[in-house]
Amino acid sequence: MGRGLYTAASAMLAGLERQLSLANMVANVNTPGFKGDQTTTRSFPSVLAMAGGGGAARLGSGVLMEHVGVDLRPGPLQATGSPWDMGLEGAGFFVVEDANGGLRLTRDGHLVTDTEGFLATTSGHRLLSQENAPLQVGNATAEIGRDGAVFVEGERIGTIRVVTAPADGLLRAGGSSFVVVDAGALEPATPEVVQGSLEGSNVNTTQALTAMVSVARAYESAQRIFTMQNQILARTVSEVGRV
Amino acid sequence: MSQGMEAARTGMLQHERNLEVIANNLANVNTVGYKRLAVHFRDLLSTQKALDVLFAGADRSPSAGVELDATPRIFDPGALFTSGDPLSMAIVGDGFFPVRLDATTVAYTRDGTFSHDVEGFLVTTDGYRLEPPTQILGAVAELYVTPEGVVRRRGLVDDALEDVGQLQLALFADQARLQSAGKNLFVATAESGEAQLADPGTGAAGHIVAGMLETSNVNMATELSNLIVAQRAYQFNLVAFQTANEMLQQLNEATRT
Repeated sequence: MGRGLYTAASAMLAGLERQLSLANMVANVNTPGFKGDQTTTRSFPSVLAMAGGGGAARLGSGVLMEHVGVDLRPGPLQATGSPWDMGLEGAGFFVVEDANGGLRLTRDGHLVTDTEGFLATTSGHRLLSQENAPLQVGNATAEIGRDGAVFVEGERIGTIRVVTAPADGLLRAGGSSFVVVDAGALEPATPEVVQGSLEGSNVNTTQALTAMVSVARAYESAQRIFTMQNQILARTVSEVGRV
Repeated sequence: MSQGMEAARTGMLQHERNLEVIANNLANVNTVGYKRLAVHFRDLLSTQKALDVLFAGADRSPSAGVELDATPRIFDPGALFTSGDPLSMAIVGDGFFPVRLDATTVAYTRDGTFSHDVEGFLVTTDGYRLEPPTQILGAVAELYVTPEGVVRRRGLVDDALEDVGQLQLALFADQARLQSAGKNLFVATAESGEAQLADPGTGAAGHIVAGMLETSNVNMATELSNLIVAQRAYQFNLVAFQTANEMLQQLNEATRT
């Protein structure tokens, strides 16, 4: 009984989740190095069948939103005029280390020096070199070559580490950074750093807004069906059940 | 409030702040020696899965949206223009003019609009004396400032050239970390490093061009396009907010019989 109700409800839930993902993308249209979501919906039965064996599939109906992964398409490189901005061309991520020693990946190359003079992101995560060590520049301004080599007052202190990661293995961790599900899946990449520029967000606003309208309309339809199913149930109870 | 609404709310709020920064830059498009501000956004998005990896066991909830976390000052040079006043000076290089605010504080500026006060000292438009103090006494026929910062006067009576002072420029290890003190002035911070004073000339501090001033480094075209981008971004987030609102409204209606 009421299976239609659950089907409609699952569509509404998926709609809300999809809307959240799109709202997040729209909020970050100007966030350097931001990567949008790649989402899809899949029908419920296949999910249940995978999760609980063949028997479960008979029960299932409805839909589920799924994060396929992060949209890794590059954003436009924009000149900023600041020597502390590092745009990353080509594939890959900068590797940074958070306060607990955890590895994170980011394409936001807006760097600062922290209290001890290490190159870090504005979230306070230290940038790592190819030797996995933080890069200490002190009070001086660093010169960074296209190959990621970091020079302080003419002296090379290391090379910025750049890695690629599978799109489905990245989890959003805030501060424009990602954590990786499996650190073993990281592959070293050739750094292509452009000092004085930042990579813009790769969110396409037209796409995001049209998707949001279609999500809202689909949600509306699901809501109508939900209401209809509810009315049918109410009528069943009040009229069919009467002796 | 739904998370979709929360994401849109942060989007609107932070782009409003972006508009404030752009308005500030545009207001200073004609301020001599002004250095523009940039904005830096970062996302607030974190998924439950990522939080589980990062803070295993600790109870944290996922978040959504965006924040404007920094407004770095950009020190690229402005164009030079002729002012016609021999006491106007522009710096070609990374240096700053040191000016004394009070007995203990020295501030730094790129605004070289100088004049002399009643005692003949070179002062900024706000009356702060250049550091080291440079005094011009007596009737002066002509006044020069050489690229090396030597202030030279030609007396009205004796017609002889005389050096009356040597200007110095301050250089910082990281000028981007200077703190703004208003009135076109900056003060040194621990991050910027102490000022290293040098004579103008061939060094990184640069040389002085007398009779010229440095324009604001605000580029009108860039700021106006930033303005449109920020306005549109605000609108987009408003649409996202309205969509989330509509969906929640429908959710309420769905439970009505």
